[in-house]
Amino acid sequence: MITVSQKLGVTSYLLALNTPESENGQIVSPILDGDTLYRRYQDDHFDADGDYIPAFFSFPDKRDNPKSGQSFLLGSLSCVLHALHRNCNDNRPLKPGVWGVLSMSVESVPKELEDFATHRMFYFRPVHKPYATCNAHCELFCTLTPNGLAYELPPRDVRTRFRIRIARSLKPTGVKAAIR
Amino acid sequence: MMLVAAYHPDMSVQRLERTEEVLQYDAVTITSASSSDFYKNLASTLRTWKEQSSLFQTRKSVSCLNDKLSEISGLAVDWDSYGAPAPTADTITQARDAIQFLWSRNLLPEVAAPSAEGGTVLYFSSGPQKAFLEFLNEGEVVLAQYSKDDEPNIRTLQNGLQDLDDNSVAEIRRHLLSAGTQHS
Repeated sequence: MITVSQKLGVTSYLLALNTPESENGQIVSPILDGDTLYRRYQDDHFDADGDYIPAFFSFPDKRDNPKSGQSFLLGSLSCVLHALHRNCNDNRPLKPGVWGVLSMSVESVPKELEDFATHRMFYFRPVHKPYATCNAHCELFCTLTPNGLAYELPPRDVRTRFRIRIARSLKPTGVKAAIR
Repeated sequence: MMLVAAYHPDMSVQRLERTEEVLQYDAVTITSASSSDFYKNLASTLRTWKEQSSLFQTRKSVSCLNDKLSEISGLAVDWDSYGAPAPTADTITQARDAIQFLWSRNLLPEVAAPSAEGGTVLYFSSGPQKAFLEFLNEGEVVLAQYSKDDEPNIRTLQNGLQDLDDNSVAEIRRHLLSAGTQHS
C-alpha cells in the first residue's frame, strides 16, 4: 500500500479515487501539439536556480530492448495525479521519498535534431503506447524519417542535446507526494 | 590577532597573520580555551571568520560533493522509477578524481548526481549558463555546455578523464562566466 503524506496535498485516498484508465484498444494518433506530457521527479532533480538537471532524464529508456523512447503520460487521457499512481509505474509502488510531477507541452518536444558529424536527421515525436493498467502511457520515439515506424537509436551527441532540450521544457506542476 | 596571543599565552597559535589557514583550526581551539566573555566573543568572531572564509567554504563543498558520491554509490537499479541503471564504482571514482582536479583549478561543480543514463554527473550552474561532465557506465565521458536557449555544445572526451585538462577547465569557466557578461 502506498502511504502518502497529507501535508504535501496528495493522499493515498486521493490516488485511489483517481485510478488511471486501463487500456481500451484505442490509440491516439497523432498526438497533437496542444496536448501535455506528465512525468515523475524527485526534489533534488532541480538546481539552485530552479532549472531541471538533464542528467535525471535519460534517452532512450534503459529498460526497453529493443530500444524505445522515454515514458510520459498523455495529459488528454490522464490527470497529473496518475503519474504518482502505481498503475502507471509498472504496478509497483514508488520508493520512499518526495515525488513530484513535471509537465511539458507536446509542442516543446524537439521535432528534429541533426547529427553534426554525419548530417543525418533524427525525428522525434511522442507515440501512444498504452499499458494494461495505464492507458495514458506514451513514449518519445526517434526515427530516421518524420513519421517512421522503426525506432532509431541516435548517437550520443544527439541524445545529450535532446535530453538538454527536454530538460529546459520540463516544469513542476506543484503536485507532490511524500512516499513513506 | 596579535592581541589574541598577548592576552592568552596558552593558545597554540603558531602563525598570527589572519590567514584562512590559521582560522581553519584555531577558531575551534580558542572556543574551548576560555570561558570569559571576552574570549567567548573572540571565539565567536573567529568562528564567523572561519565560516566565511572561502577556503573553508570550498573544503565544505568538496566534502559535500564527496559525501553525495558516497550516497550515489549505494543506489540500486531503477532509482528514478524509470529504469535508470545504478552507477558503476568506476564512474564514482572518476567523478571523485575530477572533483580533486577541478578543486585544484579552483572550479567546483554545484551538484554531484547520478545520471539516469547510467553513471555519474558533475553539474555546474551560473545563472542561465550550465555545464555538466557525465561519466557513463559504458566508459564515455561527455562534456556538455548550454544556456537557456542556445544550441547545446556537446563534446565527448575521447581519452576520458585524461582529457579533462587546463584547457577544458578554462572552457567551462569561460562558458559559465559568460552569464555575467550577458546580464551586466
